[in-house]
Amino acid sequence: MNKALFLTCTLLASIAGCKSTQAEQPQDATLVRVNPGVITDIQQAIQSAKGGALVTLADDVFTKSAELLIDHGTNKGPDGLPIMGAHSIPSEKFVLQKAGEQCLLYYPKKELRIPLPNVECEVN
Amino acid sequence: MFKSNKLALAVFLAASGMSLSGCGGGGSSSNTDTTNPPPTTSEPTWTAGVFDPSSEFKDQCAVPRTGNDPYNDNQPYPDTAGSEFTEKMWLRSWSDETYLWYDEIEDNDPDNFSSVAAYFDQLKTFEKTDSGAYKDQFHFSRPTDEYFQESQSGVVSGYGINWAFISNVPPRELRVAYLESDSPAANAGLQRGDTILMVDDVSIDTNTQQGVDILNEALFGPTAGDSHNFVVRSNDGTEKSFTLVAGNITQTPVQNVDTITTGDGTKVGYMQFNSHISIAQPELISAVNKFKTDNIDELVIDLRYNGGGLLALSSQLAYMIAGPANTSDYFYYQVIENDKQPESDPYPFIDIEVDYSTFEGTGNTLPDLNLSKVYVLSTDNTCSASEALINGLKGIDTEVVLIGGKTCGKPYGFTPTHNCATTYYTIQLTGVNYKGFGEYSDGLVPTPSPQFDADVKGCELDDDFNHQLGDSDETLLSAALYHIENDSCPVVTQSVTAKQATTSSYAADEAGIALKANTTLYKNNMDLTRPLPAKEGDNE
Repeated sequence: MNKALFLTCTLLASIAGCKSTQAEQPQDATLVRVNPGVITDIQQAIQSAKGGALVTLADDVFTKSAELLIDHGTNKGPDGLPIMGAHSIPSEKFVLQKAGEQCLLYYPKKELRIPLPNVECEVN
Repeated sequence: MFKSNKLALAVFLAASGMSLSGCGGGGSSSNTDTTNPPPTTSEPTWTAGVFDPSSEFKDQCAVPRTGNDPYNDNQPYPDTAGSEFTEKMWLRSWSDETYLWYDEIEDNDPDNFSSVAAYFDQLKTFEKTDSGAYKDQFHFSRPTDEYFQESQSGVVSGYGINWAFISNVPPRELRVAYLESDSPAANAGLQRGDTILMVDDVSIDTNTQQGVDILNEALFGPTAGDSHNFVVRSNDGTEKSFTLVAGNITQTPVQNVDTITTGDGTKVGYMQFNSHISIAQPELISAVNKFKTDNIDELVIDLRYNGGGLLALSSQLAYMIAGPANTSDYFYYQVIENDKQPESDPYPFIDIEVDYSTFEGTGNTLPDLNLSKVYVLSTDNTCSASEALINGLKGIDTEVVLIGGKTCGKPYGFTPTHNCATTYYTIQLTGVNYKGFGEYSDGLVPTPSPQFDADVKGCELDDDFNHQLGDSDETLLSAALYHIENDSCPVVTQSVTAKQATTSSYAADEAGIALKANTTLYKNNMDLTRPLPAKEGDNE
């Protein structure tokens, strides 16, 4: 009986602990406002996460969805026809999240979360 | 279907194999040697008909890069000291190993070519198709840095205008084909059919290089924030002036989703599907769900400007059209490579939602319409994965009625491969449907009386810029609706020999200076990456 009580208490304590942790758990979010400075911050965060050059982002990035897919860019063949092969590289995915008051850029591929201190976002 | 356990496992294995054999993510080479010692062997020699493995020449460069590769986790570049000859020898062996028609390449002495690029240009077949066109029209190389340029999926710089080039040289005719939703052009009031007359006070008919440069920059090369003035003539004959500010615009790959009720009460679903890009997936699912709710009898998919993209997405759409009963025992697409490559497993009809960042199934089953017939609206911009959709459905006896123009004829794919700062594209695969047909390099041809394998039942008609897309009076949609009611093509006064508009800027190069449009990488191509099955425990 004592053992059962102990287990129950432990379970309750762990649930309480989970709840308090859950408040800080990152949740998917969208931008409250977007401007060139915000886009630059996100571009630099993406670059620091995955390397490469700065990525072109939409003027309304993260305003309609918390999820961002990045593809290889937009160039064309020497004859003017578009070229894109049957490559085996998936899109790169990033997710805008909010933990507490902090906006984060989540890169699932490396399980990285990069703080975006100058970006305002909200959980939908 | 994709969820079939055996097939799923096969697809999983095949996909794993593809990932390993493909060009891989980020790296400019598969070489993992970071010390870059110079080759220890003596300079290779060319002997006609004798091919060493391409791996023996990989990354041996005339001008080796130094430092670290930002696209490969800042690992050192794999380049070692080589020569133009070693680069040519790599191309020669790689082409011999992977080119679809490797036995049609003439094995010329690499030393007879002044550059690596000149040598690569002739490492292909010069055979012709039945129509007299060259069999291989898709042979490219690009700087690897350009290849790795990235952007948000579906994002293009500009005003959100997709142009149709009716004439690319003076007297030019450049019209709006369609607009991206909520784009600067759409918000300013431009419409499909608007004909451009003047840009920044330069006539569209200018034939000076300076004038053409201004047009090219303003029409096709603006960077975000650039502002330009346009004068257009609308379909009603009025002239309008606009000032447009370019932005980085998100494409709307699925537009004008609607259910039309014909005179005899038939419910017809219509959607315009512009590009097989990953962000289209939720929009396609949403459209199909609407059509299910509306209980449609017939479906018209407008692929007239869809140049292709993800083959997996076209397979998903095929499944959503035909449904499980029509697809479960069949495959969608069988990749055919040259006889030096191992045979791959067939590409299934994919019945689940796919996470395109991992190519894993999410476990969410796709909706379906269980149709035995579909109408497809087409032009010569209907390409690659869009053609695979038509051919894949024909392979399982889903009736496809093709309304519009002959499709572009690109049943080919390739894996971009990097060597010495250059990315090469050479045709490495083609594909066939369940019935084994895939030879439509001259395009799929709409005709009331199909005779040849590449003929598709339907009506050959020109694109109609005088009506909005989705308007039931627009020529192609109108013809589809007529066909639905009458099982025949409408009698029209329009000449099918009229010049076909194209969204490529290079189709009508007759005289004078041609405009040069930027075209997106994902158009007119086919990405053959295949999804992995859903993880265990995912939702059904």
